[in-house]
Amino acid sequence: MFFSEFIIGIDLGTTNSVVSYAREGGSIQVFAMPQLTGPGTIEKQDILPSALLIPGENDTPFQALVLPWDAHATQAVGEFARNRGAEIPHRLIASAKSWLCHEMVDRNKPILPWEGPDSHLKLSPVAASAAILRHIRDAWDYEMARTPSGFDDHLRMENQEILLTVPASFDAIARELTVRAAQMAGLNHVTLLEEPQAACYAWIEASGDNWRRKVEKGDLILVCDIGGGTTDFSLIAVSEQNGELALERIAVGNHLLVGGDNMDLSLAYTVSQKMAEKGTRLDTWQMRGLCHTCRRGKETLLSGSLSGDYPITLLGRGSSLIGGTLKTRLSAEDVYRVLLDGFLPNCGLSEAPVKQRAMGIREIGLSYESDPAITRHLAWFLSNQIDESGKKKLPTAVLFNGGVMKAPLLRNRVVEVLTAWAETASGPTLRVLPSLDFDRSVARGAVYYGLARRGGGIRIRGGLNKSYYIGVAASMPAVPGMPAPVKALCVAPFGMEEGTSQAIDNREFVLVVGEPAQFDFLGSTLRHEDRPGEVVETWEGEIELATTLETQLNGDSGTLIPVTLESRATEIGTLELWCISPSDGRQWRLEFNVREHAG
Amino acid sequence: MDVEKAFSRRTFGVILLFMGVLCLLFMVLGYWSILHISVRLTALSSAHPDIADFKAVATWVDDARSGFIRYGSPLVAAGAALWSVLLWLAIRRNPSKLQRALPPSQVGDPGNRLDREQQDKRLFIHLLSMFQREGRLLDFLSENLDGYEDSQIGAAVRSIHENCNKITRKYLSLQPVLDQEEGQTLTLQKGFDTAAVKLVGNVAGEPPFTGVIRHKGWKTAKLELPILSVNQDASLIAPAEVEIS
Repeated sequence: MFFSEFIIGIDLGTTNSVVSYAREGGSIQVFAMPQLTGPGTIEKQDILPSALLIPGENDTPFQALVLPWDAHATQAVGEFARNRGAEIPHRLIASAKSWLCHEMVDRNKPILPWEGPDSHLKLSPVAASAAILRHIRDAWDYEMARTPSGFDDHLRMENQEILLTVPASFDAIARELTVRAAQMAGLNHVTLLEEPQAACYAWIEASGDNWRRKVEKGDLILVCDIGGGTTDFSLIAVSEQNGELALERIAVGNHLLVGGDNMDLSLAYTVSQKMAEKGTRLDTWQMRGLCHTCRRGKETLLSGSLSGDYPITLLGRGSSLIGGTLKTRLSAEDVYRVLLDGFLPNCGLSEAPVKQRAMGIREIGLSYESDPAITRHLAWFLSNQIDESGKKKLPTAVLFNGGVMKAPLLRNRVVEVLTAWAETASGPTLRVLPSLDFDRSVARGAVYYGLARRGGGIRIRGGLNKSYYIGVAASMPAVPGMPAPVKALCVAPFGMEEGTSQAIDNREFVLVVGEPAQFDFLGSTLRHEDRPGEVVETWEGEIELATTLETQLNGDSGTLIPVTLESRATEIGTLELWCISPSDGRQWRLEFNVREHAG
Repeated sequence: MDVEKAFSRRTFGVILLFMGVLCLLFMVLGYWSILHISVRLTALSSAHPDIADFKAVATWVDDARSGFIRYGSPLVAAGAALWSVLLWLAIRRNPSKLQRALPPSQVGDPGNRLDREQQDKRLFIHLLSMFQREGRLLDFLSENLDGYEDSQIGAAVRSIHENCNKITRKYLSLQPVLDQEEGQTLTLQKGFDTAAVKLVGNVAGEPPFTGVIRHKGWKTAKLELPILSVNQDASLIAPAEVEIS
């Protein structure tokens, strides 16, 4: 295996990124990242906001973006980017990560900032993610690899073993794009790790050897990760193998674009509506201030350290401060109503997220969840997990992660809901596994996994997070006006382990040399039992079209080559599909199409 | 480079001093031993006047003694001087030794003095500008409070206090100088830090002093300074804002 001085865990989050590292045998440290915190001001912070600012000529003072390692920087990443970007939103790329799994846009085309005015200042979602990673790399090199006479190549980030975390819900395409972004940033030794798994490793690290006493065979751990922008669920089963406890990630939820930022915004709108009723209208600047204050109010009220209302003051904008000050209150009642009933309502296990009726023309921006009720999404996720005997699998333990889960009241609500479900299904009682740090766990856990990989520590078995299929046309006579029904041929089963491959040799496809070959690529989070080579006839609602796969065969144009398919789950956590000619063993890789498609 | 020149001048001085001492020691020791031998030989030759060889050797040694002072000492001094120069040249020619001899912050271009002054000014202003940016402190201080009710001022102060406090925590992480509570009695032993503890009231005689803590004092637990680019106008605290509609 590749050996490096450090093992680095990068939690490239939707809103915030954190980097941790350790030497083999050493303790895990959080890397304080130098970043611009104001124009021309550089400070070190554990958390790097995943915001990228691409200012125009007049947006920032002369040389305001200068970094110690780049005197000619034209972009900014981090706190200054986020704060300045809030004032000039059309220059800010936020949530670049969510755009990586947005199927309606070409993810390699410079489209961000979305609706930005200058096309020459735009980046593709992949390039934007790469820019954040490049900042992390340069900051690392500057802090860790710098010597009085230059840089020690041995210590540079590009020469370290890196664990890069992705949401468990990222499909094969988004994972591939993440690896590509890392490569664009010059990081070639990257292995992907699912965030909920990393959170679980962080729990194991924090518990030491004790973790074996805190769970037992047959336990089912729900990792509930609610971050700033996204929500992610995973189920990890505890089993026994050769007398030792073993962990296996058995299910992951869908990618949900709802999180803490939505909560703050909802609170701010509630407050501003009340003010509007009294005749005070807020402008965008005041609204932003209100959003900040509401976040703090939310944290204070939810921590239970304040009984009663949280006073909100919005200072006057100009230098006449006191005269323009607006005063209002954020009541505990409002917080409970908006957050608990809006985002985490009590609901039954059989409830499903409310789907809004699709409008004729949908705006393309980021497709936020139409139903913000996280518990309903959770109910839908859990009710689809059914064991062999047809019984629903309910978690026996829950591990919380993500900034939102810092609030004990919100955690309690999730526990309350899960307990109610367990009672109605007369299931086992629920335990809460302690989390130490809701913001930094994922990066720490990633480093722990890197250490465990080298030193033979416990590893969670996971494999592919979805089953993947290729669309094949049914062999039936064509009916005019009716599209031929498409059957789904399973090419990569759920749970397929890293470093293995699956040949589908029971079916041959004929490809024409010189012409692009195209396949429909489909995925399912629900069907776990399909084996490779199996053909699913009816799959409506269970399997979704992800994208198309393409390749171009070179050679004498016009000749026909029969090929079989092979899927390979790589060691670094991506999925590759290959066409193989059985007669001479030649092979062609099928590339994911990341351009927009009619979804 | 200034640093290099200063370093080379200093090394030369050290080498010269070292060689001078060595040279003096050598000469004193040499002269003393020759003197000793010469005295013993003269005594021996006078005790045995019948052996001619003794007398010849004694005379020769005595000649050598006087010759050592006249010719030997300048020769040794010249040799030492030559060695000093050679040694100094060898050290000066090797820049890596210089790199290792100095802390890294002094290596490389430290920027000219003007840049450093500018940097100092900006650092001084920076804390104020943070108080203004996050907590609007300067707007508050420069506001005329006469026209407002106390409740209005109080409402504004709440927000200013919260945000300025955040900045204080972030940059200064304040700590009291004394861990005891105010109002408690404290005895100060001889040699206490007069900068950290100020005595007030009736101070007379020698420590130990016993008194009541009136103020716990403040100090910073950590001080992490930001890196500031030098190109910004150091007098600027907060930019004006113009909204383009």
